[in-house]
Amino acid sequence: MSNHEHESSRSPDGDTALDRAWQQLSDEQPPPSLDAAIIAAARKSTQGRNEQAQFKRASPPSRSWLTRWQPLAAAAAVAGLALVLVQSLPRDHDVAPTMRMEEPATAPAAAQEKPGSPATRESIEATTASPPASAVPQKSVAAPEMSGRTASEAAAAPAPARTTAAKAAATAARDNVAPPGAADRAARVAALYAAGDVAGAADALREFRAVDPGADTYLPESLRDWARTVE
Amino acid sequence: MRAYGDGDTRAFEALYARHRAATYRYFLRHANGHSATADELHQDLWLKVIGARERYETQAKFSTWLYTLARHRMVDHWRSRHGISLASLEDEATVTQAEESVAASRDGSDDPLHATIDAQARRRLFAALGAVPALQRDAFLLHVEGGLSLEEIAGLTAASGETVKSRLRYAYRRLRAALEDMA
Repeated sequence: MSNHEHESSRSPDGDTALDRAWQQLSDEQPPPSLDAAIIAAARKSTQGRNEQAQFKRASPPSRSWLTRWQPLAAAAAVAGLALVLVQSLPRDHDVAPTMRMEEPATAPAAAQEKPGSPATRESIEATTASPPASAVPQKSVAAPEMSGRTASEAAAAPAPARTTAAKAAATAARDNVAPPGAADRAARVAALYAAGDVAGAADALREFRAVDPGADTYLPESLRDWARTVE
Repeated sequence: MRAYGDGDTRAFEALYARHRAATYRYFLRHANGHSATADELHQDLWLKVIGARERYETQAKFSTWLYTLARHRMVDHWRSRHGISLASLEDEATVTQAEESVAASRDGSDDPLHATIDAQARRRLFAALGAVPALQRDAFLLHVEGGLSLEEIAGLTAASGETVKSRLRYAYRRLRAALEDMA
């Protein structure tokens, strides 16, 4: 053993004779079978490690592929999740009532912007014909049509006239507890007048008078002076 | 050892070739020539080295680390076989017990080979070493078989340099006396 070669220089008492005797006599070696078992264990140990290293060397392509596609896969997953969430949210018609509550103020006004328009008339009739309590569902159907049309048709009628007529029609419909036919007709007259269709309003008033001689009493106060001029 | 940790088996084979005989004799001398015990301890040691290959860090010489493992294994063996703790090994009673144990194992390990003159000398020298208290014997074996310096033995055994020196001096004196008897 190589350690024996250095004994003489290291002995604390400088007992070289003892060291020499020890070197001669202490020369046992481990049995070859033991050596073989230990070397085999060492090789087996590193073999497993080398196999792992080879596996790691072989796997980089797949890992790089995974690394490359991982962000896209994550983005796709997020997009899918967002889609599912959006689909699971309430639809427009579920939340629309709160929006439609605001439409009566704008829809009649917009509808009145073009005097004499058939569509405008229909919409005015639709909005004014029903009592306020039941007005919401019916208006909600008519409102989209009007908003689409009136954007391009907005034009002539003076704004004060529109608003007063609409208010008058609403007031008449609310205040006069009249038979449905009379109220409808009065409202129609008021609406036509407010829309600037004075001739139409006069015709409507005449028709109304033909049905009900006391038609003028159903009209709003602001229209009664005008109604007296209509024969 | 680091090369072996990186998977170089030849590095391990080189290490093993350099230290195998010394570690084997370290155990064989502590086991009073009982080769089966030495085989077992030697194998345990080197399997531990193999198992520690990836955790090995260069903090000291490899031989110091190796004999630290060897000594721990030896102490475990003492504890399990003789119920002797390391701290008690310098007690007089324990020394006597160890000497009796040595004598018993020596009587049981006789074979025709030891009938020669060299074998007699060997037997007497090793018997003398067996009679040396375990910690002194350990210091001697770490020195002559492991090739460790006094400082390295002191660090390895957690003893002062002076303590190691006195242990070695005692061991040498006992063995010198045995050699003088042979002459």
